[in-house]
Parts: sequence; C-alpha cells; structure tokens
Amino acid sequence: MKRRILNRLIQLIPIIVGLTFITFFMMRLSMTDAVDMMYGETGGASAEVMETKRLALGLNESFWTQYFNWIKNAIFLDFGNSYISGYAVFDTFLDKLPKTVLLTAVSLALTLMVSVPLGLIAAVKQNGKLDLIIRFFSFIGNSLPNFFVGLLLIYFLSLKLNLFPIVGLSDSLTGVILPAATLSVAMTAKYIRQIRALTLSELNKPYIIGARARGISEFNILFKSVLKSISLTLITLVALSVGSLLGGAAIVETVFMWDGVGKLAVDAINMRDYPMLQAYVLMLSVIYVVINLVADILYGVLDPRVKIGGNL
Amino acid sequence: MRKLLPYLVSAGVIIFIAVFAPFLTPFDPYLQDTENVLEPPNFSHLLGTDIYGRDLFSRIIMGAQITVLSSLSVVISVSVIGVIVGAFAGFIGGKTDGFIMRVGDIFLAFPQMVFAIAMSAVLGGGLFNAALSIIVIAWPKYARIARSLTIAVSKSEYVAAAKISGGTDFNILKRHILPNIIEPIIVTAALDIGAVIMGLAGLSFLGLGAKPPAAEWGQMMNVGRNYLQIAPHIILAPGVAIFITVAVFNSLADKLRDVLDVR
Repeated sequence: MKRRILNRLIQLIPIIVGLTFITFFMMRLSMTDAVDMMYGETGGASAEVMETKRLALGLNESFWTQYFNWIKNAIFLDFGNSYISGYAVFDTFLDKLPKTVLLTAVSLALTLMVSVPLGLIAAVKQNGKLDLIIRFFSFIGNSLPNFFVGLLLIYFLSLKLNLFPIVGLSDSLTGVILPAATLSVAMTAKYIRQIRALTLSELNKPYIIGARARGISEFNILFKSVLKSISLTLITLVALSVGSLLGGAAIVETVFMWDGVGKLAVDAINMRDYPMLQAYVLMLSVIYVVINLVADILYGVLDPRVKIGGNL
Repeated sequence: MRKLLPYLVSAGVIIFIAVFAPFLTPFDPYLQDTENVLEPPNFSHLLGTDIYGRDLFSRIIMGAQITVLSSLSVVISVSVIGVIVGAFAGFIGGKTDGFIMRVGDIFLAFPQMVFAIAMSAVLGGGLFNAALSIIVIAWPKYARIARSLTIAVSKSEYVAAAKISGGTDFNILKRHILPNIIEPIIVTAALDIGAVIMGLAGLSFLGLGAKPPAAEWGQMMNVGRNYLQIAPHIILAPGVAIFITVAVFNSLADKLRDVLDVR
C-alpha cells in the first residue's frame, strides 16, 4: 500500500512539471509583457526607461531562463506580484480560496443529497413513471448552461420573490445557496444518470439474487449492499467533477459576485493582470490533480480487491 | 436507423437555420432603432427588442449561425486532430507513442474550462481564440480513445494480412484501421456538441468569446444581465435558444449511442 502511494506521488512529478510549463508558455502568448502593463496605461515612459526595466526584470532573457527563474520562485510559492495591486499574487489567491472551497463543497453536498436518492429510485423503478420523470428532469438539467440557471434563479428567487439577497453577501449562509444550487444543477443531472446506470448494473449481479433468496429486505439490499459498492465509483466521479466545478465556479462567481478565486481570475483578465491569472490556472490545476490522486489512493484503501491485489 | 430519424430531423432543422440565417431574419439583426428599445415581445418583434432596439428574434436566428456553426467546427476539428494524433501514436507505438500520450495526460490534468478561460483571455478574446483554446484543451480525450481502439484493431488478423500482403502504413491506417474505430469517435463527438456549445457560450458570456455587436447567444446574455430586472426577455431568449439547441444535440447523441451500441 505504501509503495502504491509512493509510486503515485512519483508519477505526479512529471505531470506537475508539465502543468507549469504549459501554463508558463500559455502566458507568453500574450502580446504585452509586464513592462507594457506598468507603463502602457500612463503612456509616459520613454522606450529607454522601458528597456532598462525589462533588463531589470529579466524579460530580455531567453524563454528557458525565464521559465527556470519562474519555477525557482514558484517552488517557494512565489508567483510574482500583481500588475495592479502590487501584492504577491499567491497571497491574494489564498485569501480568496476559502470562498471557492465553500462554494464547491456546498454544491457537491447539494448534488449528492439530491442525486443519490433520485438515482437509486430511478433504477429501482426502472421504466416506471417515477423513473421517466426523474430522467426527464435530469435531461433538462444537463442541457442548461450554468450562467442561464444562475440568472433565472436571481430573477425569480431574488428579484420576484425576494427570498435571497440579489448578489454577493459572500459571508452569509444564504448567500452561498443560490450560487451553489446553480453549480449543482448540471452536476446533479449527470450524477443521477451515472448512479442510475451503476445501480442497474449492480442490481443484476448474482449476489443480489442471493441476498433476495435469503430474504434480505429490498431496503437493506439497496442501502447496504448496492450503495456501498457504487460509493467507490462515486469517489472517482466526485474527484473528476471537481475540474468542471472549478471551471463553472469562474462563471457562477461572476454572475453572483461571489468573492472567490473564479471571480478573482475574471477580474484579473479584465485588468490584464497576467501573474494573477497564471497563479490561478496553475494552482487550480495542481489542486485538481492532487484531489484526483487522493481519490485514487482512497479507492485503493477502500476497495479490498485493489488492497489485496496491490498493483492495479 | 428509423429510431434516429426524428432526432436527425430536429438537429437538421437547427443546422438549416444556422446555415441560412441571413435569409431567415425578419429584421436586420444589427439595425438599431432608438425609438423601440427594450420592447417586450409583441407582434412585430416576436421576442422583443434589446437596449439598442435591435430585433431579438432576428438576433437569435443570426446567433444560431455564430454559435452552432462555430461549435460544430470546434467538435469536428477536435475529433479530427485527436483521431489523427491518437491513431498515429497507437499505430507507431514505442517512445513516440509514450511521449504523445504523456503530453496528452498533462493537458487532461487541467480543469478544461479554467484552461480555456485563461488561454482565450491571453490571446485577447474573440470567437476564434475561444474556439482555439477549447480545441487545444480537448484533443487528448479523442487521442486516447483513438489510440486504444487503434491498438486493439492493429492486433486483428485482417491488419496482419494487410501487412503481409505489402500494404503501406498509411494505407493500412486509412483503409483498415480508421473505418473500424470511427463509430465510437462519432458518438463521443456527438456527445460533446452540447458541452462545446455551452463552453463557447460561457466564454462569450465572460466576454472572452464573440465580441459586441455580434449576435452570439452567450454574448447577448452577457449584455442582457445588466437589464435583468427591467427586461428579462433579453436573457430569456438566448438562454432558451442555447437550452433547446443543446437539448436537441444531446438527445441525438444519446440515441446515436444506443443505435450504434457504443459504450
């Protein structure tokens, strides 16, 4: 087991190096550099001053030298300073991260609370009325873009019924409900489908027939055996959907003025604050990779087949 | 095939509207009319007008062209690039294969939308750059599928027979391997159309895709959200248009998967 975890950690290194390289390269696609940004707005600096500044910042160095310098600092979590505020971008990122974590956690919780029971019911009542209704709604949820859901919720629940604050209120618990619900609509729809399919294939396995023959109640079969075995796959599913959650958060946070890293990134884009954007992309990717690594290890710990088999 | 027909027809209708949009609009979608701004839906303007008095119905139809055709080209480009890279890697094997797939793994490690947002922003926005950034992040998924299918097919006897009878690599790939891996790729691509439409519209919604005054659906919603309280029809019309389009392509893809029996 320890070996397996160690192996996974070693495999992580080239991936993370690759992430840094692609992120760094991507940011160099921009037509403006730090010096343009510093003096561009005021327009006052002479070409000479700007050239001296470029030399001082090392912007005349080759691509590889710049990359290695950047990596050296990035290892110590120094991603440079914001073009706009002048503060270290990593500190600003850390400052906003809890808001996004809260948002994604609440929407994941909402998703699981709704999709697990509905998915199970749909599978048990396969092709029944309830199944059709649940599948219909999950089909609709799957076809709605999150920004549209967000605007609809704001229009009906905040503007028409006054149930929720219109935007922001990042600190209150009622503030998180609408953005979290927005994020979970599409995800719930996907989860219901997956859980239904997983449950159906599980219900067809011989051990279920055995359990029924031994007179174990349907309730126990469903919630003790089936739920247990599909929860393993659910772990992987949840870890994978963190990626789309983080992407979706950028849009939803902008719609709801939720003060997390997604809105931070969109604001950084509008102000062309590339160091900020760079830290955002890299940090979120690393978080995503690490979460999937943890899920993978967890899967190994929880699944006796993997545990005994050792290398899978 | 019969079961597919209604789904094919509805997708066909949307594509027809997209292709012939300029001939179908009752008004000029870009014509401003300052005397009739923010009109709610009525008989002359079926979906009302926006802040510049432009006819929303005409803009929705025009938007079908921008949104649907660009999304379809993204899906086609991604799958073609992915299949070429994946089939090549799987067929050639060895170090080249290993290298290509590791590069693909790195792209797969990015949260897709986060990458697309950042890349289209750095490139300066615009519909083309938004589409490009989705292509750059999405190809490895297709490469992976194409590669594993290619490896499976390469082991089959007819490929061995083709090799023995002196077929060139290119010919074997083209005549024996590609036709046998194409069905799962088509299903994957079909399932992605809806997601790409929403992704592109999402980028435009953030101001990173189509730019004003383009009648792109996501972009229209971006402008419209400032008038949510006084004129909700401005976001309702493009929102519903995206929803219907995505729903049509999603259901077509679902049926296609059932009919072709791809898992």
